[in-house]
Amino acid sequence: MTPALLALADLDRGPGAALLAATARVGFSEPVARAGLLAELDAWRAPGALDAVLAELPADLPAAARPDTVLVIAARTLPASTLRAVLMARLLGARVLLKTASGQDDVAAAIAAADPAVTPRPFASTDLIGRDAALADADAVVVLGGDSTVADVRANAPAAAAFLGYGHRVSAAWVDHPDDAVAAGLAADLLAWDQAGCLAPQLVWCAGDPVDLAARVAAAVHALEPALPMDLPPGAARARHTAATLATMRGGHVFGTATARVATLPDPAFRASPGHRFLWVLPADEDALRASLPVLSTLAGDAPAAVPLPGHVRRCAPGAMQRPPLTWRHDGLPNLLPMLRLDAPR
Amino acid sequence: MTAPLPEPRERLLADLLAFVAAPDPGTFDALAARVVAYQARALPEYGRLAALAPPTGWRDAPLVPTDLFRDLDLCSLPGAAATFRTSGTTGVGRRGARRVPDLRLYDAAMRAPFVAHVLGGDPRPRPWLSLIPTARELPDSSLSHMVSGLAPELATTLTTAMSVEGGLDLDAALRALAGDAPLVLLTTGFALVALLDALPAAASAPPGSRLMLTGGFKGRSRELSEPEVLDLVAARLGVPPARVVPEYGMTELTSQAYGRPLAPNPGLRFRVVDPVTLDDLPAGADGLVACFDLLNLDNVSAILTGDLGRLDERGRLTLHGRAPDAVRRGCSLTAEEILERLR
Repeated sequence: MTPALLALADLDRGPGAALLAATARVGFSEPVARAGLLAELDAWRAPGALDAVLAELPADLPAAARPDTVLVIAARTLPASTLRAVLMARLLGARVLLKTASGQDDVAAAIAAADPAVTPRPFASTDLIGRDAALADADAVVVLGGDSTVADVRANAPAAAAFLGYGHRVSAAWVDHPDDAVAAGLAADLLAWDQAGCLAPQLVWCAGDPVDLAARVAAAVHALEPALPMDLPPGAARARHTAATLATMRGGHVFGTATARVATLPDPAFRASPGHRFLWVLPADEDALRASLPVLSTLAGDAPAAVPLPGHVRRCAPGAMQRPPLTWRHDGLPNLLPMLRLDAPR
Repeated sequence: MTAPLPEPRERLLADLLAFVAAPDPGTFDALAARVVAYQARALPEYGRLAALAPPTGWRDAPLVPTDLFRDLDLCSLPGAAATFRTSGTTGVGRRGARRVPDLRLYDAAMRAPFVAHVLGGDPRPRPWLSLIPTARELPDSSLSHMVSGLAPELATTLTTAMSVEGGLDLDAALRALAGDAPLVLLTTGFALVALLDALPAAASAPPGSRLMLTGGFKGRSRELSEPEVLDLVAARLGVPPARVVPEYGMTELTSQAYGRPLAPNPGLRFRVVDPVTLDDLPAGADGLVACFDLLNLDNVSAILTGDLGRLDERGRLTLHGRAPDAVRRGCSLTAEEILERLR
């Protein structure tokens, strides 16, 4: 279906190697970048995955409904998300104009090197003329970015263009029965992409003993991190110290590893992680989960969810948070339908 | 059951007030050790932190990041004679707050260093032009509290030409500048830029005037380096650089520092630490600024700021701005974005 892009799966030569190098330059160790990219490319190559996505399309879809050119604006996102957005547009047969985030121009170049139907279309976020020119060249627009970016692009996209915007969210986990298997999965979720991205766990609500689970996760991280190294950016140290100090002062426990911190708090209210491998473990509380649903992307868990989840919240097992299947409806939205040129109102 | 305090608060307070009245650097370390021991018992949150690595003095007292004043009520006594809040210029979202149940140390400690530095050692009253809103208008500003508290004794007249509601009152400022007696001009960086931008070419301060300048210029209508500011002040107000006195204070501290480089008040010590390890850095090395304020008795004394700076051999500080945060990679929300959405 998309043989050109699938060539990226070979990360040791050709455009795949360039993609790996470009991803590492974003700020990841080579093993973390490799693991993250392979997780995404594995989702593409899962048996029947591409056909399952295409099943979203009506059988009688007129050819004219497919966009000729899709502008993908990956304003602030991981290379894996950029790849997926490009793949979806290519599944519709569209040419892709790709604008990546600042510092990720090489990612766009590597993708374009794999597939001649993809053209990098860089413009600075302050270059409104460049943005509008790119918008004018597309009949469908896909944006991954902050709320203001998505709203801004939507407001300036041509009225006739199809529009698909993905805002920023966060993810969490809910654990009813903490054990080593659950802890290992959460450790993998934490280390994937160094906890960057909207699928990374910010916190875990634990129905058992949060301190016990935190200790288990830290032990699992300790076992995994030699293969997935991370250098803490100097600018991240103060935020990490602040979060760890808060945990201690509130009566929580902080478990440290070479690259990560896993900390408990007695208060179950949603608390954002400072990132760079800092995981909160909080006592389970249905009200706290319910209050956080508007910002949740994914909720991992080892049992059925404690409260009904809205459609935009993905449910998965610990260990699968950063490995969404290709059929995952990002933000609850269909993958292909919003890019079609249908008469439905935007 | 709460552990007993190592000594009565009133005894420690009395000794600290005596230190303020007659500062003896030789007693600082012993007083600091008593303050740390007191705070570790009086404030359970700090006690938990201190329990991880029991401190022996001010240099190894566990540091509390200023950001935590947004999350925790770091005060060991009930009540509030004042609650000072951060201005919000160094971050988005919630403002940090320090509840101060007893202002005696604060009020006793601010006069002598102010006279020594801002007034050049001459305590005789003179007219003041303040571009800092009054404590009546901004009761949660420690800076406003300081100015309003010192003026009755040290100012012949106090002209406040900046308010939250009305902004710069240029007419009032011009009237104060038109006087004959040397003026004391008190201002933030932001307000100073507003004044300089609005000032007619002919206006200047009377000869012998002095200027206290606090706060930075980042994120305002325009950003100026310190040399640019000094040049502008000399050219537009006629106040030479030697009479422009930087002040460094913060909501989380009782004491201030003055001068260029910043000399801490007797109750204050600076450290500069490695941002990752929090280990002390030698004089001349750049790092994160940490403070130990002996007079923060009812709060916490060991504070980790978000400022970058460098110490000289005498413990004086030169600031280099704010420490940058790490750029978040990927599409997850920041903490402040999450709070905003859940609000």
